[in-house]
Amino acid sequence: MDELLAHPAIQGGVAPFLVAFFFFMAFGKFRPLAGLGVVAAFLVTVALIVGFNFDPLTSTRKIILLAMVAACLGLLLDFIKLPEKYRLGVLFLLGMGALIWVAWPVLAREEVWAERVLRSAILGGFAGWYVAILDYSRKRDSIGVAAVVAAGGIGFGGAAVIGASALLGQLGMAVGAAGMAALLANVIRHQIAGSTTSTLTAGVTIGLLAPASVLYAKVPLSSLLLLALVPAVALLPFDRLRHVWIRAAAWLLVAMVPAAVAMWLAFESAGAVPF
Amino acid sequence: MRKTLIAMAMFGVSVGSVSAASYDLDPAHTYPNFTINHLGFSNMHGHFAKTAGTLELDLAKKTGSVDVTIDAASIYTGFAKRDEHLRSPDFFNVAEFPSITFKSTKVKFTGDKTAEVEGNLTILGKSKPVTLMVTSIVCGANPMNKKETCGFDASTKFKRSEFGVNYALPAVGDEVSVTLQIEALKK
Repeated sequence: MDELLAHPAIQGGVAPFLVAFFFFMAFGKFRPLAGLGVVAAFLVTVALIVGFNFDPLTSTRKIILLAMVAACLGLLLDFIKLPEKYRLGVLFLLGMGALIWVAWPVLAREEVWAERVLRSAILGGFAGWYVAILDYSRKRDSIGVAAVVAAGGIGFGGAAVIGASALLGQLGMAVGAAGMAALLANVIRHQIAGSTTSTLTAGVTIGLLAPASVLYAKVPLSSLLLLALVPAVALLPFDRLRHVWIRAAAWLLVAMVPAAVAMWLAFESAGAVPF
Repeated sequence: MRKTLIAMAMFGVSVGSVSAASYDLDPAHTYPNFTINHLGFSNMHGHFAKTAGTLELDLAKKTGSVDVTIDAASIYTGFAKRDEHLRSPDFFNVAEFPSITFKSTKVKFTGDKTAEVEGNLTILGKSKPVTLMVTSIVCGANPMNKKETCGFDASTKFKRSEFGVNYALPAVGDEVSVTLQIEALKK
């Protein structure tokens, strides 16, 4: 059993998928609990790969900590409504601030002040955008949201593994696996509830992991820019398609296009996987 | 034996003849080498190619101290893609933690050519006490550049998990064996 659980594909793919699928099937119709599938999937992978020891507080551990905070905040926001007028702006700034906190030890080392600001703006902007756009999409068709969470996680995870960090890649893949589980549960159960717990946890993890992989692994900036397109796919009007399977396939296929190109660009930049 | 003594006298190689002095580590002859188990199959070897530091040594009084900084990005295992992986957040996260350091806190001579050096090893920004077992100390004039030189062989062992380097445990071994080849030139 230990040998099985030590396999990277089980840790970052199969285990989070099964856990998330159970949560979505069991609690998918109840809004606050529906999002726990993404949280549980991510935490299972963390437990299997690195555990919950936060000393020393490295950038990766900061991201894990922030994902847990995002899950709690998401649960809170599922109960207490934040005024829509300020919601996206606040979440954008929180995402950007979170990335700057995570990456500051590296960003601060940049000697040219203008470059430090530019890098902070681009990487922080990605994090803020990812968090805000996924939150914005939560009221749309949950099949589309599940598809972009899946494609974003798989696209980023693949790019990170190619770019030399299996750890960041597996954490991203776990979110992707949760997205796939949500997609399957949606198709079987016909619309699981959209939840802030789900979109905020996925937004924070991918929103922080992807820029971190540009700084700490060898994922190129061009991959990051393509991954930024993935969550916007949830806003495409595929909800007009009648059959649930076709809707799921359409959203997933379109979302996987920028995700796949991001992986290919990482491959062009970093070369073959060494593992 | 007689020839050896004559040669030692000619090149000034001796132990105990050096009074208190400061030294800079010679990066061309100072390498931390490590060994770690890979998936239970074999013990993989590697080293760090760039090391700097200073050394204070008084062999007459048997006192000393050492301060070493290793460039974490200079890790070398003979396979570039694996080295990239070792530089990533999975292991040394060199972008965030560019240096590995060792600062001695106590030096205890256990013989004319041997010592135990207690100190703090810092990896990923986390410091833990580690003891270096110095098995050879040889000081004298370097026959090539004539500079006053001291050379050391040392070793230690520690668990990487104690420094938060947890990825791929237990498949990739927890215990890391380190051997150090050190040469230092008098300032």
